[in-house]
Amino acid sequence: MNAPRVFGVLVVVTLAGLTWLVNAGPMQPALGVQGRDARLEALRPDRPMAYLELGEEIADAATTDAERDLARRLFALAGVLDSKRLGRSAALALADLAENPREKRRLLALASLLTPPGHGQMLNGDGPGGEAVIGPGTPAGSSAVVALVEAFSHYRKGEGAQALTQLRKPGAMELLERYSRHLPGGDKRFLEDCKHYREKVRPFLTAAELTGMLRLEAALLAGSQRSWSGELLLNDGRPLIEVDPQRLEDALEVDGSRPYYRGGRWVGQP
Amino acid sequence: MIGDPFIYFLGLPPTAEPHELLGVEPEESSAVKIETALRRRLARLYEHRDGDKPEAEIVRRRLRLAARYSRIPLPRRPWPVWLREYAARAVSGSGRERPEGPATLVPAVSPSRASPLTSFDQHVMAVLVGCGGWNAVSRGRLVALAAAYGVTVEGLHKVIAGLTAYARSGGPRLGVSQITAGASRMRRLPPAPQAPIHASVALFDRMAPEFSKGDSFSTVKLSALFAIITLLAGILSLRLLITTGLPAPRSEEIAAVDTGDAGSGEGVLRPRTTPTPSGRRMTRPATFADRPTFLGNGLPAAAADAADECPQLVRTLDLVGRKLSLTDDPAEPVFRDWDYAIQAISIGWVLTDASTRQSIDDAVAEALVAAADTPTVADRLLGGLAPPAGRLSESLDLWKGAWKAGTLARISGSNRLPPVVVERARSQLEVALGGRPLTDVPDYGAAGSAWLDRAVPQLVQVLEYGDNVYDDWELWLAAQRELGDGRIPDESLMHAIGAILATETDLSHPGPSINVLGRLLGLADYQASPLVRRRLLGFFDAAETISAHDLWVLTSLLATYDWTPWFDDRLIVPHDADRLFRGRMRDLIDRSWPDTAPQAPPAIPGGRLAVDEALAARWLELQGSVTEPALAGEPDQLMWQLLIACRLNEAAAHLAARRSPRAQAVLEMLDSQAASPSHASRGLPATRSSQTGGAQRPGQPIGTDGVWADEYQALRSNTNAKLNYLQALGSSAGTDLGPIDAAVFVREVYHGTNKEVRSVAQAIAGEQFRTGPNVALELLDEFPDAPRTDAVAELIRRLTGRVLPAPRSESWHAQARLALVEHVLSLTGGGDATTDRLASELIETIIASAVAVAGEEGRSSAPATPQAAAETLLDAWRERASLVVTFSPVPGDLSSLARQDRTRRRLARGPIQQFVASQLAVLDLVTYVAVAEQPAARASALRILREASEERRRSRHVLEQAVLAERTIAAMWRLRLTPPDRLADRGEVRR
Repeated sequence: MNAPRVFGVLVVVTLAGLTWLVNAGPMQPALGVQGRDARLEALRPDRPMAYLELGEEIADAATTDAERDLARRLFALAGVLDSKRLGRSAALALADLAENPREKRRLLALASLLTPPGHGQMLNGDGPGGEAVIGPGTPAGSSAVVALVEAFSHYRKGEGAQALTQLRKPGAMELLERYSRHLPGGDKRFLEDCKHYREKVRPFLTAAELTGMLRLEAALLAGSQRSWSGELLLNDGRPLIEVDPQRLEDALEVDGSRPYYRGGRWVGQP
Repeated sequence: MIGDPFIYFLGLPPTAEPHELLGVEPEESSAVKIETALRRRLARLYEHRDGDKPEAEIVRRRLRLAARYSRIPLPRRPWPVWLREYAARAVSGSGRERPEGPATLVPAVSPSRASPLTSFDQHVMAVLVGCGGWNAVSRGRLVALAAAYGVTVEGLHKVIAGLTAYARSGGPRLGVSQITAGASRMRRLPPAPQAPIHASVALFDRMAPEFSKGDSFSTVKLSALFAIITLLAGILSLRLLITTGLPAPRSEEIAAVDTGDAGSGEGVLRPRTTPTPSGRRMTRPATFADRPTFLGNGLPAAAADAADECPQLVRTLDLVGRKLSLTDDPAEPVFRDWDYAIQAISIGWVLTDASTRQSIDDAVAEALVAAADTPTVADRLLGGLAPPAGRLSESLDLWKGAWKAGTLARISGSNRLPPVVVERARSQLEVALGGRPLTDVPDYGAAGSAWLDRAVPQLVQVLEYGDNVYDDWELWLAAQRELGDGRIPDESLMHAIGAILATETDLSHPGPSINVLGRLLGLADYQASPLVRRRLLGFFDAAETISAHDLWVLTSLLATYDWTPWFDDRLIVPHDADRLFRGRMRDLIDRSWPDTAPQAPPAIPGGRLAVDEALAARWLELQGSVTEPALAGEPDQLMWQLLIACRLNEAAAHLAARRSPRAQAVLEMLDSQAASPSHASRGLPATRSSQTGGAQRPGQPIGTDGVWADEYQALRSNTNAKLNYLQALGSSAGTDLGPIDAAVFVREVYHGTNKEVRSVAQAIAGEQFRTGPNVALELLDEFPDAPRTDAVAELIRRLTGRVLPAPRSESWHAQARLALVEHVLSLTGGGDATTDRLASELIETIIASAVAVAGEEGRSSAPATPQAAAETLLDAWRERASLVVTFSPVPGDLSSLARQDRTRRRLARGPIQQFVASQLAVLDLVTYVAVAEQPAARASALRILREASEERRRSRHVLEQAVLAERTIAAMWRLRLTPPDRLADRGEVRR
C-alpha cells in the first residue's frame, strides 16, 4: 500500500466520521424509564422550555395513558411557568392530546386568547375543533346558505340535477355535511335522492321531515338573528367555553407550585 | 295633609247625597247599576296613593252605606243618616229649633232646611259667583283660598269637580242665600294680597293735605321740610365726591322682585344688598310675594263628557271587532264608529278608571286581530290611531296624542297581532316620536310620555302670550301622571324645567313662565331620584342655553321654598356668575346634596338586607325545592327549569327592593307551578303566549287535485281563457290547492307569460290562498327562479306580513325566502317552538328583575330577546355594585370581573351562549354585593362558585349551563336573605 492511497483512505474515514458526528446531534440518553426519570428530575422552573421539549418527546412516543398524562403535565407546567412565551404553545400541545372534542375546543379557545393580536386565531368558527366553518352571518356564509336552501327547494320539486348544481357552489356542500343530521337519512341519502328524483318526480316527505327541513332552513337563513330554537337546532346546544387566560393554573389544571420531580412525585422543593 | 276625606278623595262635600257619592242618577235603584257604580268608586279609592289611610276607609264606609240607601226605590228611600246629623248640626248652630227628621217615608231629595255645602264650598261658590265664573281672576283667588284652608291645588280641583257634578246631577237648587252666604264670610277671609304701597306714595298721601292748605303755618312747615331735604342732598353729594374706593361687587346688589298675585302680572323691582355679619357678602335671592304656581283647568267639559261615554265606547269597539271578523270588506259606518270611538277615548282616557281603560285596550286589540287578515282594513284602523302632528290646535290634543302614542306602542310590542300590523304600528309610532327608527319599542307609558315631552317646546314657546297656557300645562301634568301610574316621570319634569330655563324670558319677572316653573319644581323628587339630581346639576353646564340669571332664579326658588330643606342661601348662584363660578357653584351644590337613598339598601359590611321576614322565609323554603330537581334531559324542559330559576331570582330582587306585593305575586306563581304535576313531568304547562289566538287556520283545497291543472295547461297561450280559469278559482277552489294544482298555479304567479295573467294570479294568491299550505310551499320552492320584481315583493309582503328591504337590495332574497319559510311553518304547524315561547316568558321575568335591582321604573323599552334582557339586568347590577364599598372584593374587584366578562363574550357563539355569558357576569356581581354585605359569607360564596364552575364544566348542553348559572345566582341570594344568626347553617347549592 503506497502513501497516497493510505492518505486517501484516512481522509475518507475522517470525513465519514465527521459526517456521522454532525448528524448524530446532541448526546441524549435513550428515553427509557431510567433515562426519563433522570431528565424529569433535572427539570428546573427557571428553564420552562425544557418542560415543553421533554413533554413533546414523551407525547410522541407515548403508548399508555400514564405517559400521555405525564406529557400533559409537562406541557401544563411549561405554560404556567412561562405563560407569556410558552402559554399558547402549551395550550396547543394539550389540545392535540385532548381526549374529547369539548376539551380540545376549550384548549384551543385558551390558545386563541393567549395569541397576541395579529398572529391569527385558533378558534375562528364553529367547527367541532374550533376550525373555521363557513356559517351564517358572513358574506360567504350567506351565499352558501342560500345555495343550500335552494338545493332543498329543487329537491322537493323533483329537480335533483339543479339541487346538485347548487351544492357545487362554494361552502354549500360543507354546510350540507355539517347539518346533515337534520335531514332524513343524512347527507349521503340526500345526494342519492338528488340523483334519483329528477324530471319533476318529487320525493315523498312526511310532515315531520318537511318541518325539520324547513326549520333548518329558517335557522340558517336567520343568521345571527336566529331564535333560540334555531340556535339549538344548528349547534345542538353546544356549551359556552369558560376559560380564563389570567388563571392558567386553573385552565391547564396543574399546580404550578410543584414543578420538581422527585422520587416519582411532583413536589414544591428541589 | 288630607283634610276633609270626602273632598280629598272624591271631590265631593261630606254632605253629598248617596247618588252623588256613587255618581248615578237620583232615581236610580237598579241593584246591578248601583253595585257597578260602587265598585268603580271603591276601585278608584284603592288605586289612590293614600288609599290605605284610615281616612280612605271612612269614605269607603260611606260609599257602602250610600249603596244600601240607593238600592231602595225612590218613594220609600229614607233620608240618609249622615245628612240628618249634618242638618241637625247646621240648624242647631243658628239657634233655630232643631227640625225633626222624617220617620219613614221621605223624598230622596234632601230638605231645603239643611245646606248641603260646607263653608269651604260656599267660599268657593262665592268666589266663582263674585268673579264672574271660572277665569284667571277667580283662579287666582281660589288658589289663595285653598292655601288659607290648607287644601292643595289638586284638592281644589276635586272640589270644583264635585260642585260641577253636584250641579249636573240635579241636586237641590241652591238658593241665593246659600251661594252668597260665603260672601258674608269673605269679609273674614284674609284680605287679598295687595300690591305693596310704595313709601313715596304713602308719604305723598300724608303730605297732600299740607299742599292743599293755604295758611302760613303750612307754608313754613313745607319750607322747612324742603330746606332740610336740600341740605341733606348737598351733604350726600359732597360725601360721594370725596369718597374713594371700588364700588361694591355687582353680585351683591341683587334685585328682589315681588310677583304679586299669581297671574295678576303686577310686580315691583327693589334693589337690595345686605352684607352678612362676617363681612362675606352672599347673594340675595329673588323673592316672590306668593309662591309661583298656577291652577289650570284640568277638567275640561269635553273630556268629562268623553270619559262618561267610555264604557259605552267599549261596546262600540266590540261591535266593530265582531263586524270585522265577519267580512273582509266592511261598510263605511264600521270605520266611522271606530274613528268616533277612538277620538272620544283619546279625549277622555285620563278621567276614566283603570278597568275601563283595560277594557278599551282589549277591545282595540281584538278589532285589530279581526282586521289582521285584510291589510287594507288594518291600515285604515291604524290610521285612526295616528297622534296629532304639527302644532297642537287645542289643549286636548295633548291627551289625544299621548293616548294614541301609547296605544301604538302597545300594538308594536304585541305578540298576538300579525307582524304586518305590528310593523305598521311601529312605523307610525316612529313618525310620532320624531322619525328616528326605534331600536327597542317603548311600553305604553313610556311612549305616551315621550310624545308629551315632544310637545313641551311648543308649550314653552307660547307661555308668555298663549291663551290657555295654564290649562295646557294642567292637562300635560294630568296626562303624565296617568301614564306614570300616579307619578310624573322625573325625566319629563326635568326636560320641561330645562326647556323653560332655556327660554329668553326673564324669569325674575312675574308671569306664566315663572309660575309654571314654580309648579314643576315643586313636583320634582329631590330626595330619592338620581336623575333629578343629575339633570339639575346639568343645567349649570349648559351655559349656551341657560343663563346665570336663570340659575339665580332657579336657585332662589330652591332656597326659598320647602322642596329642598337642605338648600340654603349660600347655594344661590349670582345672577351674573361666569362659567367658572357656575362650575364651582354646581360642585358646591353637588357636595351639599344629601345622598340619594338607593332603592336597594346600601351594602354595609356586617349588615344584612332588610326585607319582609315572612316573605324571605317563604322564598328560602321555595329556593330549596325549586333548585332541587335534577337537570332535565330535553331542551324544552331545561328551558322550563331555567324560567323557574329566573322567576325565583326575580322574587328575590323584589324582596331586596322592598316590593313585597310583587315578590308575593311571583312566589305564589312559583308555588302553583311547583305544585303542578307538569312541573316535573314531560308535559309543560301552557304559557301565556301559547294561549293567544294569533295562529292562522290553514286553508283547505276543494275538489280533485290535478283536474284544474290539466284543464289550465290545455289552454296553452289563450290569455282570455286563462284569465277566466284563474278567476273561476274564486268560486271553485277552497282556500288552498292540491300540490299538483298549486304547482301550476304558482308558475303563473311568478312566470305567467302575460302581465295581466301574472297580476290576476298574484292577487288570487294574496287573497284567496293566503292561508293555503300547499300554495305557500310551492311559492317557497319556486322562489329560486322567481323574478325579483316589485309585484313579487308586494305579494310576499302581503302573504307573510313581513316588512322586507327593497327587491334590489342584497339582503332581499334571503329575507324574502326566510319570510316564506316561516309562513309555511306557521301554516303547517311547525312554527313557534316551545323553546321560543318560553324564551318570551324569560324576557319578561328578567326585565322585571332588572327594574327591581335598578330601583326605578323609569322609562323602559322592551328587549326582543332573552340575551338583550340579560344585558339590561347586567347593566342594573353593574350600577348596583358600583355603590358598594368593600376592601376585600369577592370574587374579584370590578375591573377584573369586567375583564372576565369580556373574555367570556369573546368566546360566546350564538344567542344562548351570549345569554349564559351575561348570566355569569351577573353571578359575579351578585356575589360581589353579597359578600360585601356579609363578609362572613366569603368562604361559602367562594365554595359555591367553585362547585358551580366545576359542574358547569361537566355540562354538555348550553341550557344546562344556563340553569346551573341561574341556580347559583339563587344560592347567592340565599346568602343575602339568610339571617346572620343562621349563616353557618346556609345550605349548599342543591341540584
